[in-house]
Amino acid sequence: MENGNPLIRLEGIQKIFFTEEMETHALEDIHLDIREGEFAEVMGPSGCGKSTLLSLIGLLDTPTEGSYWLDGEPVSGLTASERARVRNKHIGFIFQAFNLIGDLTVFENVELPLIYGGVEASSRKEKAIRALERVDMSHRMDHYPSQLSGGQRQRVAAARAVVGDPLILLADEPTGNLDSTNGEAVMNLLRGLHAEGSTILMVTHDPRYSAYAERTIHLFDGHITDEEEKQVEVEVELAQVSG
Amino acid sequence: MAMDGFINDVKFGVRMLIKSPVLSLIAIVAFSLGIGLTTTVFSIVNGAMYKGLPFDEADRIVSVWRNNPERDIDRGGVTLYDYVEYRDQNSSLESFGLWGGGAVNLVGADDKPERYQGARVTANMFDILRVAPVLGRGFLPQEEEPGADPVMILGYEVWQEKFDGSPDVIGMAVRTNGETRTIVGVAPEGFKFPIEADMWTPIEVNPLEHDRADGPQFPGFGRLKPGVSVDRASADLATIGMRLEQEYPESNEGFAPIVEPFTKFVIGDDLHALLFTMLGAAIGVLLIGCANVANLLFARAAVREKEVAVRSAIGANRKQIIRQLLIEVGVLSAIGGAIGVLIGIGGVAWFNRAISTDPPPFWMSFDLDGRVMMFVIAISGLAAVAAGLFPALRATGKGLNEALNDEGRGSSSGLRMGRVTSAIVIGEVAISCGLLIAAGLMIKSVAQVSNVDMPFGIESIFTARLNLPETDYPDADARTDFYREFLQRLQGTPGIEAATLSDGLPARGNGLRTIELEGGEYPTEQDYPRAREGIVTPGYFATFQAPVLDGRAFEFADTKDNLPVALVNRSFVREYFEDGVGLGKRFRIHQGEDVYDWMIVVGVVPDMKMEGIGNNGESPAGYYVAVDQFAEILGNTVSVGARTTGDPGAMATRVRETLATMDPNLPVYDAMSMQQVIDQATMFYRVFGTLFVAFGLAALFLAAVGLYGVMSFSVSQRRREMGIRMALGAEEGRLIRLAMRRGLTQLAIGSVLGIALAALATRPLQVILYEVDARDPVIFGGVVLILAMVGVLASYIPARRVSQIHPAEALQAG
Repeated sequence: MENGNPLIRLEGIQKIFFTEEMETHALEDIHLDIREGEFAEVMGPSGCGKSTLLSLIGLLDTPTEGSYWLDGEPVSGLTASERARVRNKHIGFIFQAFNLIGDLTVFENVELPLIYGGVEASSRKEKAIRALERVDMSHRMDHYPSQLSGGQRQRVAAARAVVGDPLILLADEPTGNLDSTNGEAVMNLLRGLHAEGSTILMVTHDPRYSAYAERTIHLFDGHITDEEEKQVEVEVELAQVSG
Repeated sequence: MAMDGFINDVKFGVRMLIKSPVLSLIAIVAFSLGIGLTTTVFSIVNGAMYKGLPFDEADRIVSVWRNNPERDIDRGGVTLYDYVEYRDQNSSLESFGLWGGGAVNLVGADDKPERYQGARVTANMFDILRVAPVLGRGFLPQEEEPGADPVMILGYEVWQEKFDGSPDVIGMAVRTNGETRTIVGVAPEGFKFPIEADMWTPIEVNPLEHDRADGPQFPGFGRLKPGVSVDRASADLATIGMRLEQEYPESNEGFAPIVEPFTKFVIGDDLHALLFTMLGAAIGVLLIGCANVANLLFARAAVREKEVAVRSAIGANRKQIIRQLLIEVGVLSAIGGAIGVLIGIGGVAWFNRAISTDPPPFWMSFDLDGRVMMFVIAISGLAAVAAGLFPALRATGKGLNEALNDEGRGSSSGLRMGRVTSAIVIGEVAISCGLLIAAGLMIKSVAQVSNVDMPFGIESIFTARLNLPETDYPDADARTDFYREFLQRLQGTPGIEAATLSDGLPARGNGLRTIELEGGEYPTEQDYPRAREGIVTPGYFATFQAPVLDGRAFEFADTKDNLPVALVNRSFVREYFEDGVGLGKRFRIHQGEDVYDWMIVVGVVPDMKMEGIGNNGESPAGYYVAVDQFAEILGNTVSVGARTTGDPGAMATRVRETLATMDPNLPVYDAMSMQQVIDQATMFYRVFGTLFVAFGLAALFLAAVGLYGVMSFSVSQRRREMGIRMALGAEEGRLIRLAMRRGLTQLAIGSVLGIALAALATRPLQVILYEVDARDPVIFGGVVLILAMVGVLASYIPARRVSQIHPAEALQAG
């Protein structure tokens, strides 16, 4: 896999949380490029700003200062509605807590981003089924999340993340709520998606899964302290994810 | 795509409804009650005020009256002189006519006399209204001229019932009020202009028959020219009126014509205010329902904030999420609306049954027509927005990051329920308090009406009315002879213990008359006292079992050849005779100079509700004079009262037979028992009172449910805090007080606002309150007490529940 131009570029990003009595500097002077097709991970201790960084990149939050380009377009000054549209079209999320909607079936959960994106019903069905097939969950599409195991829920979450063919997948501690077997399976799934061409940025504090990423960005007290590039052997084992 | 998304949102809304059955049920009940009551009232308002006349371009049909504020004349009739002037000189009316009421005794081919509501109209009635007879023709212009052949037009219903719908009715001669008339046409089905007429005869437009100041007066009606407003027509006729006032001051001074939409005279200002107060009360119930639902949704929003955040994270914009949340409420309000329609159908059916004894004008019908259904759809939608928008805005207002990273069980840490729900609860309590006070006043009024202590006998009394046509009974002597003879025959009829004829029945309200007391000094006209007058035959007080308190009752010897005598009631004595003695005192009717002779008081009788039922604050002081001595005033219509030994309902036939022995052309009409007369007189209070009672009960129920729901949720959010306090050693009583404090504060503020609201809003209810002050302190105090009890209970139950959980459990509840 050849890494190309920066898909994401952050320049001088700062994030300060203001409360009544104090201000907390969550991120300071962040400069970061994520290249298209790259599988990068952000590592650091709890409270170092990993999730905040992912939220800013995922347009779930806005920086206090600094500039952000996504696929060459400046996105730090977008309105809430414009950010929602960019999230829908270009960003897929995988959360630690899965964040599936319990009152929707597996199929409906995966279909939901397409509905918000204005995709026609017939096309939606086809795309959602294809996404579920990619994570080997098409046989459970009429089930509700509560009827699935943790690993299965995360695979459904992955299907929902990729259904709209986003530019980048953002995974926030995707194995945090899983046992080691399922955790490994989910990581294999991400590796498979990466092998198929997805750009992935993952936040984790678990060094066991560090080997899956090509680049590790170390974060400490809101600052990027180190970056390291690695050689990774890609094995596509999508169907090996256990239930 | 929009429709596709909408269907998905509806599907999800239905799923959420099933998932939270208790919330859904409460919301549906709240919406149903609110929408149902509002629909019922709007159907009544729609029928009474918005349907209008069922004629072509009916908004151009107007009434024309004459006012004279100096003489206290509001909506007076137009004289024939003025009619001709207005008709010929105005530039704003396309056509102009007159109408007058008048009962008709009709004897058809079957020789059976029957009584109908008739109307006298100018010959152009059908042209003005743009209505064509279904059979025969309308009136010809020459048929309103003096000496024209007497003709009439039948109503469709009479034609069907009395003449079997036969086309041969055209040209048939019938006797009406003692006069032979030829039927020339049949009006279309349902046509009962001007109010409830069954047949029509032409008014004889012959001004010269009387002086300008005298002669009959009729309400006017006409059709505005295209593009002419009511105001412009008013100004146009006012100009003519001013000229007439200058030219003929003796007859026209102080009179000014007014033009208004035709149907307006039926709904006076009081009723207008009442109808809208009722609609306001019903909307109040709906608002309470919406407040309940809003509070429930706030509670649900707290547990759904993560779902909302997920939707947002995957690309839903705020508008899409708000739409989806609103559609969920919309599903609930749609179901509530559907049930509300059923409640409305039931409510309107009840209303129609309740008023059936006194039907409204022909153009009023109370049903759920297209306009009402549009209203239901609109208020269901508005209710959904009112209940759902704010919770939806709050639910989508939280930071995404915070919601998504919340590992918990959907806690509401970020959702500040405080001020908003407090405001909703305070508003809910205030509206409930206002409605309950209105309902309390009504309950008291209905109770007073139901238990009204009539100071006369009601049991076993038969009543009816009788009209003597002027053609057969042209003068007072003829009528007096007839009354005397008929009364004696009635008193001899088997099954009748006592009988009387009078100008009206007790409790139906006697007219006011200006009088002059002997020895009294009255510098101006306004200084003359006014009292209520009853014109009765001997046997009146015996029939109604009202004992003569002092002196004697009327006797057959009290004729016009003897000294004029009068009976006065207790209030009359109290009001006009300082020494408290009525017997022997003299007074007379004051009308011009010495028109009436002095009458001597020969008896004192009890107060028999001469002021009528419900005339709050009106003086009951009145007097009675003998029919034989005042037949000129009595006119040709009398009420019959007879105390019977058996069922009064079975007496109509015998009275008819007795009457037929004297004049087979005379019908007996309005036959009913005295109890029915009282029921009819109190119908207005009972019907509207019952509606307000329904509003009050619905408001109380919803307020109680709402307070309980909010308190329940509020304390459940404080479980952890309670656990900490318990762990620190707080006693149960202290925790309960702490949990209840907020609810009780809201209750107190809401009650104060509610009292202020009620003090402002209950004034228009005075017209339907029977001997109850619209600011009755007992009701105000009682309602606050009831609301306080309900509020304390609604706060106490959840407060106690949360104070009894185990500290460890509460602390885990985070």
